[in-house]
Amino acid sequence: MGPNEFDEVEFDEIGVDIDEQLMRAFAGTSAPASLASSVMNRVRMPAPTRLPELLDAIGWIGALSFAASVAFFVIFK
Amino acid sequence: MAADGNIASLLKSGRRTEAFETLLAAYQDKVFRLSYSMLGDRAQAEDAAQESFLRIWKSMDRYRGESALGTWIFSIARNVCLTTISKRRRPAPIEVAESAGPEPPDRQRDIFQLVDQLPANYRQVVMLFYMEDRSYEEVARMLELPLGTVKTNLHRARRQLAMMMKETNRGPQRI
Repeated sequence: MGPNEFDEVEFDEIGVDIDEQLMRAFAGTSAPASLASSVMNRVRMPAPTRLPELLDAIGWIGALSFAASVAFFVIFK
Repeated sequence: MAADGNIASLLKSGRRTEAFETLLAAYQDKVFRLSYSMLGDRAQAEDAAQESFLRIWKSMDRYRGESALGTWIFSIARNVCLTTISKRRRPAPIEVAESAGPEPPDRQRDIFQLVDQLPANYRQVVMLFYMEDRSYEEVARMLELPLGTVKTNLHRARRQLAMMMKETNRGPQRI
């Protein structure tokens, strides 16, 4: 006797058949239509770049270089 | 799954995006169902499924085919769900699907509430079993459990549900 047959006997004994209700509740469940498109949008989204940090660093280097050259000019004039 | 061979050959030929699109089409329902059975909430399941596919996309290059594609995908999805579960305080009650079939909404809500009262391992097996066309093998594969454990959990879960229904007089009467 397989598990399903055994289950059926037990459900008959206690007078309740839940199989049909569970089928109605859960069968045919599928992913929302928006899932695939949302995933693909996120996949195609450009990866975050480090450009702002790089520009920031270049800016600081530039400012420091300028300050150093001014100081050099003032000291050794 | 028939698409697995196609996905593998697309990956080998370097067509990564095409491979991922094929994978997404083939596995979106299964990953969503697995997430829904573990989380019991459709919105959270959709978020978890999205996160799972993003992780799959990022690590696709590292997939070497040591395990079956499905096994690899489901293990990623299960990990994402476990992370979601660990972050929330208590499991969300199972939501009634918007497209509930011919069953009256009250009856539908009753069965969802009863399933929600089951221990997590029973709930996962019951939901997945009915979502996956009552296939023990598919449930075992998706949850990575021995077939015997799936059958035992399902049997106990259904018996518990039947007892709960009997106690609350919610079970449909046999004609």
